[in-house]
Amino acid sequence: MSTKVVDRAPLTFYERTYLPAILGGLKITGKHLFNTLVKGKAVTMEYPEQKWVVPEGYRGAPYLVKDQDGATKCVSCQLCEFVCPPKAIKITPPGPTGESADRTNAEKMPKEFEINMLRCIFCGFCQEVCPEEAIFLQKDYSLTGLSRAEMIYDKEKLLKLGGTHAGIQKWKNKLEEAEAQEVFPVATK
Amino acid sequence: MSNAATTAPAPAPAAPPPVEKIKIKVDGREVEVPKLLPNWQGKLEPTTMLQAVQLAGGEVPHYCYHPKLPVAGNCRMCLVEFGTPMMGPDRKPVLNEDGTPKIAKSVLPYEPQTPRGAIACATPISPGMELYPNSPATKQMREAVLESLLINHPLDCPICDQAGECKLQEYSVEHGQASSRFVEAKVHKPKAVDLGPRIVLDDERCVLCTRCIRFTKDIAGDDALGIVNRGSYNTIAAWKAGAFDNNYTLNTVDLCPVGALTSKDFRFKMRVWFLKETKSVCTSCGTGCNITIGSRESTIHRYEPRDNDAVNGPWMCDSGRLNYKWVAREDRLKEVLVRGAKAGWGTALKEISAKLATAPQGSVAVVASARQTTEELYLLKKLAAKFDALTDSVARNGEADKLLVSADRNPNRTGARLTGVASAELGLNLPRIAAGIANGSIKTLIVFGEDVTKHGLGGDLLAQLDTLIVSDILPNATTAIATYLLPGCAPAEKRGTFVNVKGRLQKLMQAVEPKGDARAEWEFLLELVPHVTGQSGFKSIEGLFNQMAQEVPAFAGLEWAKIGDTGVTVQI
Amino acid sequence: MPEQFKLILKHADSPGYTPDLECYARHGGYEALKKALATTARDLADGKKLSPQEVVREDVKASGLRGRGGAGFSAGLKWSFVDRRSGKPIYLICNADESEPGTFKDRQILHKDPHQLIEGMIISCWANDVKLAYIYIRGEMPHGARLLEKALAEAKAKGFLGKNILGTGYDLEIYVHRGAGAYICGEETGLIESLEGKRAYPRIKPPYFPAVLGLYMCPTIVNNVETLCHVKHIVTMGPAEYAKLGTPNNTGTRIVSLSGDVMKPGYFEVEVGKVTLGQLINDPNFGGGLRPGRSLKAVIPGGSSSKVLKAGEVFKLNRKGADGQMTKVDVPLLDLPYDFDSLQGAGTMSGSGAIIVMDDSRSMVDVLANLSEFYAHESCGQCTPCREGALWLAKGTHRLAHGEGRKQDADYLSHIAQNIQGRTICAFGEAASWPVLSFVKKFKDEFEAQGAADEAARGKAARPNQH
Repeated sequence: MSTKVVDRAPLTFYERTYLPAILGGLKITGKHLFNTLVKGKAVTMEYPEQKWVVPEGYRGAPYLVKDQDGATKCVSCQLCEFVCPPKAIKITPPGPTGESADRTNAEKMPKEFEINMLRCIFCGFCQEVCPEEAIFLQKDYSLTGLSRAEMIYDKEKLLKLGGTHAGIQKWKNKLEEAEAQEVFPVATK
Repeated sequence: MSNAATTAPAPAPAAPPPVEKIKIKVDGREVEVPKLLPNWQGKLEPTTMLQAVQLAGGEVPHYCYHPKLPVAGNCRMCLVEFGTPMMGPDRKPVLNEDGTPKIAKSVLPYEPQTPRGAIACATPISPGMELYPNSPATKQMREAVLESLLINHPLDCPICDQAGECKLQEYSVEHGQASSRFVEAKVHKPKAVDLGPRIVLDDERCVLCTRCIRFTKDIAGDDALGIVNRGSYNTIAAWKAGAFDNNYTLNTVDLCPVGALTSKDFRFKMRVWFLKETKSVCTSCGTGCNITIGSRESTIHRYEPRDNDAVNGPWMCDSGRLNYKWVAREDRLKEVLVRGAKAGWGTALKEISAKLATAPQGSVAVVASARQTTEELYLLKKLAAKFDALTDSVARNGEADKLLVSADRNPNRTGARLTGVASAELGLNLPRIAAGIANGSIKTLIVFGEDVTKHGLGGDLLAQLDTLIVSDILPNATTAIATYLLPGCAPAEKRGTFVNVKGRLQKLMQAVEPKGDARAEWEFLLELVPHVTGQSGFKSIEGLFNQMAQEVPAFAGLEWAKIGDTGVTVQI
Repeated sequence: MPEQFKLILKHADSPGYTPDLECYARHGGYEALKKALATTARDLADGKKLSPQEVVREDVKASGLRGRGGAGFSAGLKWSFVDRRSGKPIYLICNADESEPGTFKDRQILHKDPHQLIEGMIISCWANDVKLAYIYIRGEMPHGARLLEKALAEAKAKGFLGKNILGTGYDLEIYVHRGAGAYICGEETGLIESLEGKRAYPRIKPPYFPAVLGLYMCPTIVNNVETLCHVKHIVTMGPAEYAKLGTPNNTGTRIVSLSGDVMKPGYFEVEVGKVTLGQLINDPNFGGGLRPGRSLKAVIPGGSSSKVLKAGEVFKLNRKGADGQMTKVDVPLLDLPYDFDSLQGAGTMSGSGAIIVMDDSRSMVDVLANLSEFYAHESCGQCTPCREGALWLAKGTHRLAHGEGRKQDADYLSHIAQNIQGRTICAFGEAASWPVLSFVKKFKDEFEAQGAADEAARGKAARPNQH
């Protein structure tokens, strides 16, 4: 493959004085100076007194959500733990003796669910992989804490921060379907 | 098996009779396969299509077929389109124009344009047969069977323990359809049924392959399971609620191709894709079933049997399988104690070697354990030889069953005998040791892995000793009064070999790290023994084994690297 | 004018005929047995010699008798498959588990003339060196079972059964076994499993062909009630005389069960192939025609699992001309001779000889929903395609029959059925799928119209009940 060298157009004398560039820059600076001082239009946001309005689809911190009946949606399938690139998620499954799920007709929920927010990179894989719509990246972007331990959010905290997500109640629907199951042979009309 | 007898010339096996072979074609490729192959019981039977395809390097998906169970042929997943050489009315093969035999493809007798499959698991092959395990018709049949299996499946993979090792998942990816056209209501069946003390059943996930029924009836000899109801409402049930309680029930969990039968012990404990699999050997009795240890980080989550036709086939007993929890016990010995005070390994070993170096002949006795690895027993024997010390171990006997459990509950009695630590009958020397302590001739006792207070060497007798050196894993009456207490390792935490009751020498690999300061016994013995005996030793388990193989006649010619995953048989 | 030809039912329906031995003997009973036992060895032209038993077996083969249970397989050929060299005992089982919807012929024999069956069985057992035989009778026929028990006791008392039959030194025991009510027990290997005390799961073939690995893994013959009765008549008449009944390759008589929308439903014994389907439906000697004002819509010719035939259909059948050449001949539905080969030529089967007639008042969707429900209920559930497919078909047809259909349901149903036939362990897969395949194929417009109407009524909701 041959390389073709294209000559750069030589600068004109006027350009070589750099005056047009300097003036162009000063014009913008002047415009902002005027807008700020005279019109009172600030471009900087006075954080943390002022808070940024997060747009839709923003990928902030991942939290666990509850369904419309106030039940934990997570079933402890551990797919998020598996997919998490920085290994920020640690789930403790209920085990054979664990507490049964607080949700109708689902046998399993996590005993503990921890996200280390210091490791989390807000990539959203956990939300994408979740088969239960139980974890969502929400709008929090400013997470602070006084210790490393404090930055590991546990199940209780994640559920409290996550709020409610009203969606399909898969397990409840299964139960309703089972209860309404056709009995064979069906009685004909 | 890659490992024939390697020790003293074993009787040469009689030359096998010449294997009769037949030629068939698999996906157009000509292969020669034996006419007869062993069936599930090892009896020679006509080779099936499934075996032939496997020999040709292919695969036929299946649910109900299992090489070690009687053939049921009910899942229909292994339907394969095939053709046979056409026969003319004169009973001579019909030939194509090019002289090759003309093949008649299998078709429905009443619809000659539709291909007909045969179940590969039960249909014998015949000379000249052509199998099409990847033809469009075969694929369509598979797809249809898979669709049928899935229409009433609850699709609850997120909470199913089988997820990740489920044949429904695997075959759905390979042979399934992306979406379902099923618009009717699913059949709902009982969930979380208590089948027995160790088994829980989810009937909705069941594909009714009857592997569990066949296993428990024909292998375990306990006809506890059956099918109730009819048609799509068929459900597996125990003859009485909770009555599936023989000592082999957990094998049905391994056999179950889906998540219908799950282990109560493993239930909701860990997703299988997180488990590290380590090849090891069960140490609950002298059979030495091959196992795979499933662990994550420092926790053992399950034992599963590992195929070894020379020992356990694909099975293992429930008691052995569940005998791992003690490894994680809180009261494990985790600290080196010198006269009751915490000490470092260096200090303790230095003191012990100094003491032993000056010990007169006959003043030392060794009680080893037949639950230790052969290498450890070998090192202890070497140590004992220095003082011409009495050595022995402790017998541990129970009742044998018809399948796997052996009466000898020591996993390495054979090893103890071969290394010379004990005679054929364990415990014969224990009274002599007791007498030696009582008359003051024995001043130092080395005890490894046994609570000798329960075996005739009571606390008052032990109190007469100058030095009691004890290594163990869990605390007991002997460890409580040890002068030197050296915390040891569970078999899952170290490497080494065991020799089972039939003389099968097998390797253990390390699955998890030892707890606290505990160290593998062979490791610290390797530091101690050369100090005392003055001989130089190897620093690795491989070197140690190879050295032992040179000195112990039964292991002559063996090398660590030559012991395969399924072990070797030694002359006992 | 076609008429019945009563061979099996010659006496059974005559007034005053009772099912006891005394009455049977008065009508020439057990004479055939005596004749059979007196059979002499026969020398063949090629120098071989046939034993008396072999002579009877050859006679049955020569008579051209075909099984009356459903498949229409040659009875003599079936007997010839039996593994007689294994050294194991040979069993004979009489399949009296008559449960194909529309069939009620064996019941007539069992209830009216049990000794005829027993005589046929004894001859068949003797001819096949059977020492132990079973009658597997449907659980829903307690009366038949009681009659059989009584008849067996009578025969035993008279020395026709038990030790040293009629002084010949031949021993035979026959036991009656009552089923517990499952259609699948009529499948021969399912029946054998059930007889062994297990769940009636049909066996896989290969390797479990009853003739080699049948009852208790011994060679076993399973024959229908009517088939075994014919053996008696073959012995009485001689094979050549018997073969003159009926038509070539479709010899003898058979009992036809006629039901559905005809004036005179009932059972009729006819010479095979001598009467047409149309005569059976319309002739005053048989069905007596449809109800006034109704016209024929469809006929199921051989029990519910046979493929349906549509009124007005014309079939191309092979016919042997006077010159011996085979020619294709157009045969309208009503002119189909009622025999094994013609119905097979018409793409269906004569099965168990049960004709179900449907007139224009019947909705084919409802009929199919009814049939599919039966098969879903009776599928044993052993193998996947049938277990899941039969219920799927039932749910689909039920939905279509109850206002929740879709236009694509016709194709949906026949595609499901396609995935069942030929892929199952036993012929139940065909039995469950053939009605669907044939109904949907022949009445597709009706199924599609129903689906379209349902869709319109629902306002085009995409799927009826999404899961």
